[in-house]
Amino acid sequence: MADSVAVRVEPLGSVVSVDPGESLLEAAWRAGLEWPTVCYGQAQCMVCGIEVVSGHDSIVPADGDETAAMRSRLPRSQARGDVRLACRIRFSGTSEVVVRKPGVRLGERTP
Amino acid sequence: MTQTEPSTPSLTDRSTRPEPFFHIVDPCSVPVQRYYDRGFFAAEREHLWPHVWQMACRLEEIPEVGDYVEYAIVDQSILVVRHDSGPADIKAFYNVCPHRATQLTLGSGTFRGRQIVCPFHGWRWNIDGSSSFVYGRESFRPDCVTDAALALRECRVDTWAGCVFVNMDRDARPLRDQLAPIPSLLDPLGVADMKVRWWKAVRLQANWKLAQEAFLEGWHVMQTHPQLTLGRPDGFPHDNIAYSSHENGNFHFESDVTKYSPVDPEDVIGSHVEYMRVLGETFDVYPRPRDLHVLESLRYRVTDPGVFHQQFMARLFEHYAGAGMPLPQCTPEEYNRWGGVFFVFPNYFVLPMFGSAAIYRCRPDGLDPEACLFEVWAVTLKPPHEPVGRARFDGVFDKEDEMAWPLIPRQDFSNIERQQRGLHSRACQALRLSKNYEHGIGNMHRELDGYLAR
Repeated sequence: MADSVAVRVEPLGSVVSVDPGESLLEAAWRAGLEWPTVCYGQAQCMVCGIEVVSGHDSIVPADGDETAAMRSRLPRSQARGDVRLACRIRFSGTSEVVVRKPGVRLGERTP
Repeated sequence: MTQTEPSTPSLTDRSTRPEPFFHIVDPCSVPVQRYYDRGFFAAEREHLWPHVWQMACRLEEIPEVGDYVEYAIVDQSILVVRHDSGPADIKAFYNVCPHRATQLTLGSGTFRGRQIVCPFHGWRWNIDGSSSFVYGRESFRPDCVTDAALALRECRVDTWAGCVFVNMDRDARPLRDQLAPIPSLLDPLGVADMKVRWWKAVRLQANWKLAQEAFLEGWHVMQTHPQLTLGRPDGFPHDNIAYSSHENGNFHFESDVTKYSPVDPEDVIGSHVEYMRVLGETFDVYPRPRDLHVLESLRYRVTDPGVFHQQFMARLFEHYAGAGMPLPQCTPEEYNRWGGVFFVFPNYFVLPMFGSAAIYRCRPDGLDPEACLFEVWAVTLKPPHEPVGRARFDGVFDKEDEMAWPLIPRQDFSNIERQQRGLHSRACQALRLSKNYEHGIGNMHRELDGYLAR
């Protein structure tokens, strides 16, 4: 089985270990983090969106569903830069990835 | 018995409800209105669907915690959810927000973070149905937003033969009571272990009951599936099937061994192998290529039909065992059910043979008595190394689509809408059923009348 990928979430600074086949959001929940969302992983609210800072080699490209969802629901002003949905982004490779998502915090309780 | 107007009083008030109209008095005669009358359909909507165990989905559609399927019947939408990791941790909720009635999901999918979220105001539930977050709770009168009031309403859930069954009636008898005696007949054949190979549906302009009655008898083969006569339709037997109507509206048929006759008496083995090859090619459910390989490997090696059968069974078992997916050990009486049809009231069929089966389910398509959705699953044993994954629906295909539908289903579909139109003819008051071959149809309708009378 392929290895997990280490993803550093700034500005919090936490490093989340994301397993193959799992989204960043699911991995963050497993790690006890609270992540901004209102739709809880259904690719509808766009609130979980992240900016990719580095480590593209380890990022799986967005599929048709994620691309269509962002095209339809993400306002242009929020789509600047390298934006991906935390609830859909997956990883594969060895490079460490750095993403930026203000609002991620250590959780008291997660779903 | 006078027939009441469909618009008469309340179907829910037992003291004023009319008796079941167009009901079955003669088991060989089914009044045509049962297939198109709006009042009759309304009676089914009120007294059948909310009170009967019905197949909602296959277990392999919800393999992981959080997976859900939307099961729709008439105007009801029900979510079947795997809410925890135990094999029986499945719940069924009405797909509606208790706030302002928004449907919580569109279709099937996976709940993430173990949360069900309403897209309107963001109220949330844990996937076990308990309320987890009520945005704006303080603005409500407290009695309107108690945890008990907001918990998602549930249906009864149970499983059988690899499927999830639901019942909207919380006081319904156990699933096994309604299924009897079919599990005792079918379970030995191991259908529960089979996995989906393909899964398609067709929309037919016909009543759901009419569409499925095509499969409650086997003597339409000569005319509807003439390829199976291998060019010898004259004298093609129709009395070689044993039909058994059971309690609870259930039914099955299997071949009658006492009436077996080979397609070509001068080439018993050859014609049998040929029949199985044509069946496999035109049904694409069974026999599978692996089964045909075993048959063909014996065709020129064995000359005695009795020995042929014995050798075939032995080699078939060797193949499946060697492939890591052994066939179950059964009695000869149980093996004779291969090639038969097993019907579970109100609308579910299993047709097993060797390591495979066809599954049918027929539902009204929305609220039109003359529209139905007929689904077909081809299921089969799979070797342990083959990944199974989440069962996927291949789509709805036109009844004449040659690329989508094998010949046998296409042939069956071709009669159904013609029947539905013919029902409206002034020359037609009732279906005229064969007492020996078609009592399964009458049996189903009599059980239906029992539900409508409650």
